[in-house]
Amino acid sequence: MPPPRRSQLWIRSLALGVGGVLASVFAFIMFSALEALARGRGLSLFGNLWSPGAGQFGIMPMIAASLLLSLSALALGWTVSLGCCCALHLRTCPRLSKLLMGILRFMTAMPTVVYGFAAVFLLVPLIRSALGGSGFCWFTAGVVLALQGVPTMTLVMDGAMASLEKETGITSAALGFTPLQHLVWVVLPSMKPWLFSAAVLGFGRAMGDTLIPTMLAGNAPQFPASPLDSVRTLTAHISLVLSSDMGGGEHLSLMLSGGILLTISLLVSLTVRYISFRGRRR
Amino acid sequence: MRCRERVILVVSLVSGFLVCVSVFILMAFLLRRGLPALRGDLLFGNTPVMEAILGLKPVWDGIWPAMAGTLGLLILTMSFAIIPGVGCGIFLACYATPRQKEGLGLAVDLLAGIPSIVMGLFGFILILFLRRTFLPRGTTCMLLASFCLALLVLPSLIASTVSSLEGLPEELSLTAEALGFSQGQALRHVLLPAAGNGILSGIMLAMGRTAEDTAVIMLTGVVANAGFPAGLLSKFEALPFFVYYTAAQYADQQELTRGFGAILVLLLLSGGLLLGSWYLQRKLELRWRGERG
Amino acid sequence: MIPCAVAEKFSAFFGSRPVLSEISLSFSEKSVTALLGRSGSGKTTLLRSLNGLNDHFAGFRSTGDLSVRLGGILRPVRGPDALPASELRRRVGMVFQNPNPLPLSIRRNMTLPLSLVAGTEGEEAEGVMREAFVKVGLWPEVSHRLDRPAAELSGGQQQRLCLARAVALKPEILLLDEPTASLDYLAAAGVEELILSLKEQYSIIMVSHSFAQARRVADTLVFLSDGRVSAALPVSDVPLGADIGPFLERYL
Repeated sequence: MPPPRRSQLWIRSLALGVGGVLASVFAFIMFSALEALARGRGLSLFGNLWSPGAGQFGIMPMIAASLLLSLSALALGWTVSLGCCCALHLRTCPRLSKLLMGILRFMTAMPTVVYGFAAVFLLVPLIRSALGGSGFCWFTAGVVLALQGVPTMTLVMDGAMASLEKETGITSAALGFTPLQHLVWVVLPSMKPWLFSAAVLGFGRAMGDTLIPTMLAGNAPQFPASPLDSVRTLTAHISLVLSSDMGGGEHLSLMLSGGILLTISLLVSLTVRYISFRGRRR
Repeated sequence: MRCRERVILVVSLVSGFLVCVSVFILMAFLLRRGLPALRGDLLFGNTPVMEAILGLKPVWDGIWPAMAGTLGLLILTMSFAIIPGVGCGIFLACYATPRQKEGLGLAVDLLAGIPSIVMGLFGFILILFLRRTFLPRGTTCMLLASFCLALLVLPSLIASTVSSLEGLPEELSLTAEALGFSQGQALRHVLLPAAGNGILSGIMLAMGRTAEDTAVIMLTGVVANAGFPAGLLSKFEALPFFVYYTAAQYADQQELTRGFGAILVLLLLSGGLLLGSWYLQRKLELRWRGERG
Repeated sequence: MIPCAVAEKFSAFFGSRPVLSEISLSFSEKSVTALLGRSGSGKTTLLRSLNGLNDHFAGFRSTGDLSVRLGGILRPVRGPDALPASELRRRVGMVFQNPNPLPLSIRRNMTLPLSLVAGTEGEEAEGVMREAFVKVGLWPEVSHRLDRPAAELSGGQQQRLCLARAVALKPEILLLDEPTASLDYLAAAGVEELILSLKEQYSIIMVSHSFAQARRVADTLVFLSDGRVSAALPVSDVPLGADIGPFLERYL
């Protein structure tokens, strides 16, 4: 271990500045959320009803919608990602795997708004005519959100799978395993931490996405009874309320939503970090 | 073949197929509807080109104001983000003590996970705060939006700088030191040029993220009808917001077609940035692997 | 002499680079053959050709004939008459230079290949496992911790686990790629003894990095140089003492 080197002053102060700005972002949002909690007594911010006209500013429906939507999108998206990741490593048809990889990389660069826009004109009419309702619902947003999350999760899994496969591939081949057997019985069991961390990461992404729920989920502040019901997530709530006006209760609910989203994203980042730290130590 | 193998095989084939088909359908749909819009008047409508480009005459039926807004955001955001991002990356990779690395690394990780709408909310709270204290007449504007976007892309810039510097062969810095270079000299003349492509490719990815983000600017000053951006302290339009707005509020078929055109322009921009960053990364890889392979 | 494997003008290439050129050779059954040569002489490639493992790497190509005798029948390793890769690799077992237990428990390291490749399950697999562990002298050391990760074993133990894993699949030929190179002196001696005791039942072909070891263990020595066989002779024809220097000089 070399001794800590003497660094040039400007680079040190830059890093310090960046650290300070980061800290102030957290401080600002958290402080506003706490302030909202303190000032919002009597406004039932954690109530079950959102009805500004009646003085009810409950964001429970939005919290529920955020959780339900991102968990359902995660269930679908994670499964598809796992499938894609295995498809990338099956070795049966390298060309197809390459094509899939190209598509996934391309998807990472695809703006979220594009998914939303295309779904408004492709998927929404389809669901409206096939399943009824307006088509702007939990289900539509869930499907698109799942698709949007696939490339990130797949690439995380792929990194782990590639290195594990490299480590054990020749051993498995020498024992007479087919590539599929190698994947299923040797690689997958030993990449559980990464599968989990991909899921946590995907959850965080789904939870934080704004445009897809805003454009596709219908935005009714209610507890959904079926996948065809319209829902409003926390993120959509922030974008909608803000783009209208800022009265007392509405403004406070917004700050609180921001605080909740920030807390969740912090928990997600810490979990992923913890898992990868443990993985590296092993 | 065992049950578990069969399940995995079926899941992987179905998933691969589903993803490919969805993307193909999506792209085919966008191209079919958007290509007819890619004509001369997509950008400027009926306004004379030169006057439109310079912002002398308003453009009512073209996407030029939105494009100009996005370009402005890109330039401003990058001028905010590049120096702190790359500098902080250099600090983390070359100078930080293990404890500093741990602390700052944690902060960067946490920042990277923040949803963009929360970053937008930060901008909004910030301007409210400023209004109450120093700037009673402050309002959301392009400067604020770029600042928040810069915060949003900062972590990815830092991470890509760190990984391109740490990805260099170890002998490189040893050689430089053995030749008697000081650490600053080694960094400036050996390490940074060697890692340059990697850092540049990280910058391009960050630009892609800046160009596509909608949630941040939604809370920090984008509007639908601002026209050509009037200045740093005024409201502005942007391509992704234009797309978002069109989806919900289009009045006639012509506006909708313009929305599809805007999507293609946006895809072209982010696709181009992705390809560019890919190309640079490949070049860098070949440079370190070429001799042996 | 009955051969367990025969090469006839066998050449191998990685991309355009030739690794083995026109090798013609036969390996005898139920004995130990050692392959010797400088690094890059093609020993490992020849060994891996015998169970088709080179196909695992991109850009591998071969010409000429290479056959192994399995179940009394001489079969080509590649081509239309060859056994399926999985069957071939079960019957031609292999142990690598570095111990390479799968990242699983000790028990799963043994039972997984048994169930996937040999179709042996349950009680029967447990029996085969015990037998194989006893054969390599590992049973007393692992019997009480079969469900611990295999990575916890020492290097020598891991290498014997790998041998047991290969033996459990009931191979007819065993390929050993410098099986003692990464072990300390004592562990290496143990593995050498094991090889001697196994040659009654299996045809063993090993790559060795040490001439002394090859002379202790092998019945036949094959010298490779630049992808060609420079000599193949029984160990009794190898000179002793002072003549050894010029001898090695000539063939390596």
